[in-house]
Amino acid sequence: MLELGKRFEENMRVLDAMAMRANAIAHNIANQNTPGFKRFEVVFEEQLRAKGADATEVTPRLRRDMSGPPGTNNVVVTHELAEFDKVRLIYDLFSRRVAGQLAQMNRAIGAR
Amino acid sequence: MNGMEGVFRGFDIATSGMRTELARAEIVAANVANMHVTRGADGLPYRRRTVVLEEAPAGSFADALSRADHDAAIGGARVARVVADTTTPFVPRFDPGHPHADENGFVLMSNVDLFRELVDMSVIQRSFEANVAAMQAYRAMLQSALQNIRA
Repeated sequence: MLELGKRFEENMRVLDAMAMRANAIAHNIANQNTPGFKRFEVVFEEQLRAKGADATEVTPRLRRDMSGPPGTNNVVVTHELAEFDKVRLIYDLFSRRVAGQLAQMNRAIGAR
Repeated sequence: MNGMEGVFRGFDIATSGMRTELARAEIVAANVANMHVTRGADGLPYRRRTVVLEEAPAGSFADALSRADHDAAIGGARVARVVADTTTPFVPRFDPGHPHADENGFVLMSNVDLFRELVDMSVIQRSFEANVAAMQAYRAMLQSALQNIRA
């Protein structure tokens, strides 16, 4: 049960990170015509790799992508939309996993 | 941590993008509508106007404090100001019969360039659609998550 709780926490953390990334992408797209705007990205996977796969110890973080000449906007809309597609797939996968775990917990409690 | 934190904020962010593009479209429409105005309130021809956008921080101040740890910075875009184009010169046109013509028969026309406005308008349309696409992707993402959890 403890193990299940931990896995649940991990999956929720991934969902958190993906929701944050979706917000960042929406923000980038909204600012595609803002002069001098630099896009945001959410750092999560690389931290996860560094921490050795324990997602509960990793907090997703916003970071400015400062690429491109200074003072110019570096949003590429097609790139952002492609990123959004990735986020959607990951969100779908992890929401499935969370749903499975909820069902398992329900069974353990005897609700079903 | 909960996986639903700030999930609906994406709609507000995408909406802010749609709103700013609409504001830009309105100014383009105003430019085109006034492109033949040779004398405004200041006695000069109509000056082309442009919208300057800026990043918007998320929600209210209290709202931002409660999320001080991470994503308080992202709240979409907003209109910073509307500026008159003072660098593009007015265009003189030879029209001696015009009541606003000078002694040489030239009338100063506004500095609106119709083709430029049309190009701007198609860029605005694309930008608007990109925000719509983001909102649709957002919606689809939440909807499939809901379906997964219900199943």
